[in-house]
Amino acid sequence: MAVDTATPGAVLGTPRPNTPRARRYLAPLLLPAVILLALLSIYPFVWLIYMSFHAVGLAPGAPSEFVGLDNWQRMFTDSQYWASWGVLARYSVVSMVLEVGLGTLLAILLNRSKHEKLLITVLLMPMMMAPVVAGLLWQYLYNGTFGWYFWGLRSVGLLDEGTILGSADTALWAIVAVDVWEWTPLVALIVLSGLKLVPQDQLEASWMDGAGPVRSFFQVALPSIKGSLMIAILLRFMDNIRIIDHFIALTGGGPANSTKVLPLYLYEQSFSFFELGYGASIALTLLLVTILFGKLVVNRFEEREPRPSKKDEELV
Amino acid sequence: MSELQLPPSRGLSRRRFLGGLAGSALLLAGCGGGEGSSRANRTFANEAEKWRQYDGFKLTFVTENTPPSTGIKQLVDRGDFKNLTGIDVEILQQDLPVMLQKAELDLRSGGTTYDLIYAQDKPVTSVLADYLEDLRPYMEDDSLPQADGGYDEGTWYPNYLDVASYAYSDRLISLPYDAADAVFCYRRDLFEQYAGQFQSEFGYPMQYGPDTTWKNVLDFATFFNRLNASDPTVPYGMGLHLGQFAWTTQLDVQRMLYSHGQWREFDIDDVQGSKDPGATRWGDDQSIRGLELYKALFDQSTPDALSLGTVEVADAYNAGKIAMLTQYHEFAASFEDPANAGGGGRTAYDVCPKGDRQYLAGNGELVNGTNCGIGGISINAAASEDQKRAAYMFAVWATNVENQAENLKISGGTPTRLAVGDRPEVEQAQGQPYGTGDTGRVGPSQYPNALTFPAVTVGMADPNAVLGPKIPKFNQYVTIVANEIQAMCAGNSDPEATAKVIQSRTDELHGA
Repeated sequence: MAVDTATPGAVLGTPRPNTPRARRYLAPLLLPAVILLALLSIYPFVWLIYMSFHAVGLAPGAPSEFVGLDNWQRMFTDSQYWASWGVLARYSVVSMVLEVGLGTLLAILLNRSKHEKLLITVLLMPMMMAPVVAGLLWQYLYNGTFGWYFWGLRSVGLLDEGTILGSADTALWAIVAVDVWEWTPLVALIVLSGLKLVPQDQLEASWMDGAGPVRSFFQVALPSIKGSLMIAILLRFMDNIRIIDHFIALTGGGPANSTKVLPLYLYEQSFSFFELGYGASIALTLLLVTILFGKLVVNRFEEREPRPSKKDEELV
Repeated sequence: MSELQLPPSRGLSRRRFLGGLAGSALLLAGCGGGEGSSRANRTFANEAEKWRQYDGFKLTFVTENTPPSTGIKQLVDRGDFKNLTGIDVEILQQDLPVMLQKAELDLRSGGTTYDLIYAQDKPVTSVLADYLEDLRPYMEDDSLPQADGGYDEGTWYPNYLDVASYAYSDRLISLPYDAADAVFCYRRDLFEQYAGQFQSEFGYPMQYGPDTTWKNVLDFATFFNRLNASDPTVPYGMGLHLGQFAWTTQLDVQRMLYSHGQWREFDIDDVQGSKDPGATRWGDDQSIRGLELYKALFDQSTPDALSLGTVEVADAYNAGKIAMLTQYHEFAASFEDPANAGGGGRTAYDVCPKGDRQYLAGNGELVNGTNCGIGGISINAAASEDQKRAAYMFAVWATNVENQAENLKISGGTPTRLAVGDRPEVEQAQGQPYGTGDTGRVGPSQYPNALTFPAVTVGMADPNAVLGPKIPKFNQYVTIVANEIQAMCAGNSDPEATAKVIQSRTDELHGA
């Protein structure tokens, strides 16, 4: 009989996770935390659903008026709602692709480099900044009157007379650049941690077989860091889909709504115009998409993990 | 109130301390509000006693981060109000949208976090009028100190009381506290330098005065932009307010439209406003003609105009990037900074341009359309009776002539009481009376904002001033206007389509 000695729990008789026995064992341990989480998140969630069917009164004692599906009907016929989804999709996809791509490249360059620790410290600095502060900083850099980046781009002929944040063609991409600047280091850090786990013997074997660096990366390293990449994608997606700070600081959604992402539209409806019921409807759709995408990524991640076989369970 | 704040002394027994607490609780319950508990109807031996009747109280004032509020905060911080009344005042300064959000959450939910609210006439007052206290009973209350100059309309700059203090009823819900009035600012040095060249190209002199029209301004802007094309050191023609803050974009277009036949967005009384404004006038011929003019001016403005809000366009002017703009008169203090391109007397201030017959649809009057944001100081109606009375004392103090004059000196404030401008030193700083000398007013001055007062006095008087619209959904309305006008300027639609879209979206907003 084979005994799993690699997992301390197995030796001590603690069940492996994801088995019926494990679930029976773990459930009572998790219950208090689950109840607490339920109180903290399920109550607001139910309240959000309630609000989406009401015209919400703020004054104490003033009842919220039931409006049926009015908020939902308004949302689905609101052209700005759909336009804001479009802006959000473009922003999220482009930011995520750039951050994951550049982050991976950075991680490869940093991995086992001579000054790895120093470079990581330097690279992480943008991440330490509050997003709204980063937004304000870049607003100055982009400023058409005294901005260094504006001046630099004009000087090398990449910009004509126009401005960066004042043009519907460039404003969104300017905000993407801020996000990429601030959050690529996070992706690099996550991928770097994955790269540290790539089996060195397999890499060396592939080199011995004559594979170049690119082929070695795709054939050996990439399969090993897929999990890290999935985590990075999930984190960046969750952040990007609820982004608001950079947009408020840099453009406020303009010009001409060209940067009005859905969270900003939701914020405007809820806290500038106090249309809390309508805002709740928008928030619920945003939440739904976040959950669905998150689930999709997690499923992809789990597909990689070998499910315990019956034999394994018997062993446990 | 002060007797309740005594902490237990070291020698106090536990029993006596608890007994004291219980007694204090009973006293507090008694003072918790209600007409009977208030200090109204008391008699006081002198004015000083009246001012000190709320010694030990604390007030919280949420306000915009405007220079006058900064000035008032300086006066409060140096103890001027505390020494007079014994009342502590905490002044919280925020950007206007943030301030509105905080105030709206508090007032709509019946909260009393803020006793005093900075009520900008349309973005705040139009939205929160029902939650602000009617000040008229306080003005007639002999047990409260009152302002020396009184509160009649004639004591304030023209139309300030009408703009700031009323919405939807005769209740007087705020006292004019600070102001941002549109004036026309231009580089007088450049006008003089290029006078001959302009005259030869356009056939009339490049001079600015009360009869200068928007079409003339368009010519000036076109002239400067042509020069800029061959010599980038010459500023662009015009600065506009198209950046982040929707309200100032609406104001930018509104004053231009009002210049042409006194066109207004809704068929409502501008002083009272209306909770049900009905159908908008957007979409009619005049609104389309007005947008054609605005688009033409945009084409002659600085290329980054779409990213310049009120503050940014001032920065651009200070950097020497633009030659002319309509700007709020509180900015004169920065324009007069000798370190800036337009500073040290190179900027002239005048009333906003007059409408031009070429852009008039119909036979209306052509006026120097001028608009404003008058910040009132208001009291939270949900506060307790004594808190409201104490807050009223602060409102009176913050808007009296003496403090406004002091504020003008220390922060470049924007006084609302005419008597401040009548003070010899301020009067001298204004230059010659309006219309008696050369066009415009030129600095430098130790009271730089005073340079604009003659233009403000003319611009904010009838028939030039446009005061509204006071409507409950004002902030939604200006968001629609700003978004559509930005889209037009970006080339996504033409003036006619823009006016029609604003019409349909505004009518949809109001169910009209």
